[in-house]
Amino acid sequence: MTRLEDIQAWFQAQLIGKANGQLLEEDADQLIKSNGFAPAQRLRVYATGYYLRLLECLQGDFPMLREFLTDEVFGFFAKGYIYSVGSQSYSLLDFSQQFPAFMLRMTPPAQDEETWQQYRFPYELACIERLLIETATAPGFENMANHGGPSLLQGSVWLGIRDETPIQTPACLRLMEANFDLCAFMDDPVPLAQRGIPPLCKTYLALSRRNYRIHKTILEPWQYHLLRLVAEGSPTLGAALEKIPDLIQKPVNEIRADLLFFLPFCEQQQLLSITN
Amino acid sequence: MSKRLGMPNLGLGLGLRSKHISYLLQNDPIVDWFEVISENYIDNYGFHRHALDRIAERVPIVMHGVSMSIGSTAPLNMEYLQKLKTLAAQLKPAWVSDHLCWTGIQHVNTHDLLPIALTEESLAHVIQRVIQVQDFLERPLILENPSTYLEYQCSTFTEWDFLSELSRASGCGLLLDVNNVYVSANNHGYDPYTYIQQLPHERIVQIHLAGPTDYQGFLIDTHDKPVPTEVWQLYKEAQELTGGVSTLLEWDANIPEYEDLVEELMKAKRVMCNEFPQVQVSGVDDLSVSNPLVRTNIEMA
Repeated sequence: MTRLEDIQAWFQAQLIGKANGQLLEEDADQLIKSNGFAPAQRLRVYATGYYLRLLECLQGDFPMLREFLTDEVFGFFAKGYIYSVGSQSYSLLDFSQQFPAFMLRMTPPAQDEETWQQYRFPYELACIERLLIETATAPGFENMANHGGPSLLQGSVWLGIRDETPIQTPACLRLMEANFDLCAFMDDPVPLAQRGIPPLCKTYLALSRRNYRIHKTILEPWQYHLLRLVAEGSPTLGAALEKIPDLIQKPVNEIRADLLFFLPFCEQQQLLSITN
Repeated sequence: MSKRLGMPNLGLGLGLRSKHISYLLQNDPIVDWFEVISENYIDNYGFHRHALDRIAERVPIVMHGVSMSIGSTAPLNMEYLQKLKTLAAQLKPAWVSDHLCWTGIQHVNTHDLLPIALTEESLAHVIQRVIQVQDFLERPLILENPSTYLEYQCSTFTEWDFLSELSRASGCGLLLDVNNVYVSANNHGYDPYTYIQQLPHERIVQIHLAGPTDYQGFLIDTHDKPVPTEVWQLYKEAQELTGGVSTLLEWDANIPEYEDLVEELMKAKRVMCNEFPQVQVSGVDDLSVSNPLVRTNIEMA
């Protein structure tokens, strides 16, 4: 084997665990110089390095999950993810993106409620840790010029904001529908090893960023759906409000009244702004 | 001092790491320049990017990449190159560098700097890709010699001859990592001084310094230790042969406090006066790796 393409295909297969039983040592002897170390030993430096680098990345991205699951259980999921999913991005910031979904796929079906909670909670903890990374790195409103135009505060409290008002959420906003109170769990001062799985508690979360600091906000269901509709492309307040009745049983008139208080809060937390 | 490929001698610099960002926003950086890992700032609009913009207002920046995969047989990732170009337009680095390596094929990124077979086929392939990248980025590319743990039976070039030919034919500059020369020379049994002496010195734009680790007789490029005496000796040789080029200390794990890192870097001045730090390479039982990823600071309100 001397063609560059063949060598790289063989080498990569050894590294990422896709060698499908090829005789590593025999091939390595033919391809790699010895010079005092067995060729397979040389190759193993790269293969081990590949695994360790990606493991370190996952450990760094999911510190609470790792501690909650213990190194052994976390390592089981991490190893599976590294060898069955791997990285397709030029950036290691993207590597852990599919890890929560991978954990869920690897988990067997739960036979009862208690087991379901045991399986579901680590998945949701993984989700929020990953979303926090995305909130920390995606574009926020920090560098948007303070345009001096109508603010949501002025618009809602003093002028009465109109349905056609174009609004937007920042790219760094992440929304999550959770079955546990993840905020309370994450902020709990009790050492993680002493915390059990919290009780079921449906929560709607917004992860946002203001002046480069992350905020976790628990929302009411209608607030969550409104923000989600805007984040998914509803261009105006009116367009988002139109769809709310399909999602939640709350009279639109009540929502409009509550908006008078919610919109200024959104502006202060940089969850929403009027589009320039 | 003459500029190389139009690039100045920036003096003594450090690899910018997240641990020191908050310190640097409030204190004099002391050093002459910083090198940043390009991939840590592509698609990153958070605190680290904000901090980098502030630091770049005060100190020259160089962009150093790990994912160009210039030696890969996979097509160049044009999306990556476009983002690299955009970042360079925003940061205005003194230059943009990457490694003579490949990182993956078939859409896989191993996030390692894998060795390429040093053959005529590889040389022609890499020359063509370097020219393509330079045309796209509209600036010379600076390529670093990687640390390697294996050599291919089919290689017909030494690494220094390969880099020399590549540099002459493509017009790229060279980033000479003297620690990598030391590591690879140990792992493959060649003379590190021959390596450095045979390179085209007029094309060397920058030097890297770092500390390796001994693992079962292999030297591993861990970037987590002080620079050993032998690497300082190679550094002096390289500086004398080049006439003096920008020098950068890399440190990616077990990162010291900023003042201690600066102190390590300033040893470079004493080395040029023949004062060599007496530091041996230490060994470990478990393999560790270099990982220059910025750890995302989750600053909770």
